[in-house]
Amino acid sequence: MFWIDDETKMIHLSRGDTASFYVDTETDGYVFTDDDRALFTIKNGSGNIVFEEAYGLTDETLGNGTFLVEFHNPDTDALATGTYTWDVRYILGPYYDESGRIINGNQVITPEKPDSMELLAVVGEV
Amino acid sequence: MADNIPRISFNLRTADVISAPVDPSLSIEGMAADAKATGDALAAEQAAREEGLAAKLNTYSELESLEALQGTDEVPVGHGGAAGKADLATLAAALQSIGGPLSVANGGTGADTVQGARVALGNAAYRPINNYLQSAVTSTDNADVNIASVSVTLPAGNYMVVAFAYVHQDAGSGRLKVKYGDSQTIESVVSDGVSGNTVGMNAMVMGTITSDGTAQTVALAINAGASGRTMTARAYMQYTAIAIRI
Repeated sequence: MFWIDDETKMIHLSRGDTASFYVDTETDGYVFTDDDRALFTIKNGSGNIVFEEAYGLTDETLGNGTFLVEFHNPDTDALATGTYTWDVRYILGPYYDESGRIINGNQVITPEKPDSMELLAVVGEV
Repeated sequence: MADNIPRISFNLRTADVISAPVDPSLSIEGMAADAKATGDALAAEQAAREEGLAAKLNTYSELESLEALQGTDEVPVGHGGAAGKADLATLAAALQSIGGPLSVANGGTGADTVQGARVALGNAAYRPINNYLQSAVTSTDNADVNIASVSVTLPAGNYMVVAFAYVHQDAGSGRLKVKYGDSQTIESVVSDGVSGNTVGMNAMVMGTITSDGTAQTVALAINAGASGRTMTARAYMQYTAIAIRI
């Protein structure tokens, strides 16, 4: 089960389900470059990151500023059910550490406050 | 299937993002154009400066040429002795009579010497023609005898010529002459007035000549004036001719 509340952007996902959704980014004239990234992050109630993925923004098929978030079974299968928070942050001209993780950028922009994600309980185990 | 994938949309405020290079001046091409324009402006400024400098140099060159034309500001005319001092005063008076700024300075150190004395001629263009007489020359009868001659090239124009020499006329009236080229002669009457007088006198001749700009021989000469007479330009006395452009 997976759906997104259009008004609140709250994500509802059954634990361990595969799901995907597009994130479109409207700008006022800015054209994303190949270096720019969108960082999609989910944290639990303790503030620990449980999911983090950096996406490019220049996919020719999707269009400039659009990226596709995909959940696979291992991403959430081991997580506890309950409420999480997520957001998207745009890093323009990102800097990376030795492990390849984004640690800074020429511009870091968070377009909205964090939204919620509900991880729903399941009965069957995959 | 793609239609079933939900979408989330975010808006990035313009102020939050780095502006795309919409300002042409911020593009590589724009900056290159700016750099070229700046370079062109600097080059034009440099060219203007060089042109101005060249103009100034031309002016200086013209001034130098004028200065060369004028010779120097001071004309040496002196020779030791009271006669030289007297000649200097005579010359000064003569020059003052034709106008223009004039000053006379005694550059010597002795009471009766004017060695190194100079006559300043202000802004007049002049060409000094002077020398020392190394030995006496004598005119007999009615012959022109040069005290000295020199070839000079005066720029085309009219000149006031002043010359003087220390001479002795034994009797009657002789002549002191400035002969410019083949056809122009200025002369004055020289007369001691006493037969047998050997003291001599400072004689001066003054008049105008016209130069066509070519080289001419200027001669300072004496002429005894009549058969049976002699006229001598004394040895080691100074003589001078000065041409002043008028």
